[in-house]
Amino acid sequence: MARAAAGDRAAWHALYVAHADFVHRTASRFAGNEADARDITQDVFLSLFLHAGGWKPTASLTSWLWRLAANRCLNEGAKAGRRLAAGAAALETVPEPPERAPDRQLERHEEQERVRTAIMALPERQRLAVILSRYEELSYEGIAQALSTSVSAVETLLFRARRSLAQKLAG
Amino acid sequence: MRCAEAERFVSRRLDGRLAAGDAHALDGHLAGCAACRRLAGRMTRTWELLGAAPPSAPAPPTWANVVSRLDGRGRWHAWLETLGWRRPAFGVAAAALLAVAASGIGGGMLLSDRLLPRPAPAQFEAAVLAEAFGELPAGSPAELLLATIVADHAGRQRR
Repeated sequence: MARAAAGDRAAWHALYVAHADFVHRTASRFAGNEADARDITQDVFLSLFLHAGGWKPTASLTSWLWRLAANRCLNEGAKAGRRLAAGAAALETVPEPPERAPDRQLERHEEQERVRTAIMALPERQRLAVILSRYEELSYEGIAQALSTSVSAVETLLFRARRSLAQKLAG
Repeated sequence: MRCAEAERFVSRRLDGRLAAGDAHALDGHLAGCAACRRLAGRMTRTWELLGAAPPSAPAPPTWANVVSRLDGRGRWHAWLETLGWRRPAFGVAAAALLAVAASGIGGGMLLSDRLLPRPAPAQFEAAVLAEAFGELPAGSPAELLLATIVADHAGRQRR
């Protein structure tokens, strides 16, 4: 990281290779579309490289990256929210599961689609908390750091998200 | 235990953060509350469903994409710098912005004062009073007020 802070491109490349996967995974699950996810991922790393000089060795690079990624996701979400305000109602309705699945692959695909739609319908901070908890297995403390909030706020975000998802998915 | 607390405890248990004593209290509540039992079942099933069917996550952009964005920024900054541009300090930028805003507002006020015809004050007030009261009755307070305004205006013009 010290080399990256000095502007060493080889060090930047090494950081990107080591960390791009989880940033992009999170961005992709949060944004729900690949174009926005790619923008978010690239912006996070551009921001990391341009501000690498400000990194303090006391802070974990991963938690710094989580914070950058969460912040960038929430900014993108706010923009996307304004763009999609008209279509928001559609996201509120999660498709019902099929009565009889003729094919296991189709059933799985539909299940994934229902999950994706339900997650996308959550308010942005709840959505991000769910993604970080369920898919990235971050602790409450890790999520609180990424979202710049308290542990008890994370607990509330996850609780509200679970209640809302339960209403939409459990049927 | 109240239902609201039980719901939070269910969520906490799914994260493995429920203390043993609280877990015991929760189980006691669930045994006697059908609504909370139903919600607990739904929350658990949903959480499992999320884990079983994670939304797909494609590969990140290539390093070449990032480099091209980095170089794009570099070229843009270099081009600005050949024109003599330097990244201003925040304070300088804020001061410049304030100066532009102040000169715009001040200039606008000055120009509007000079360029826009304004009715003489006495004519203006007379018109307003006449419009409000019609023909002013002789000796009425409104007529006295109008006379005072007109006299005051004439005095100021003489000065």
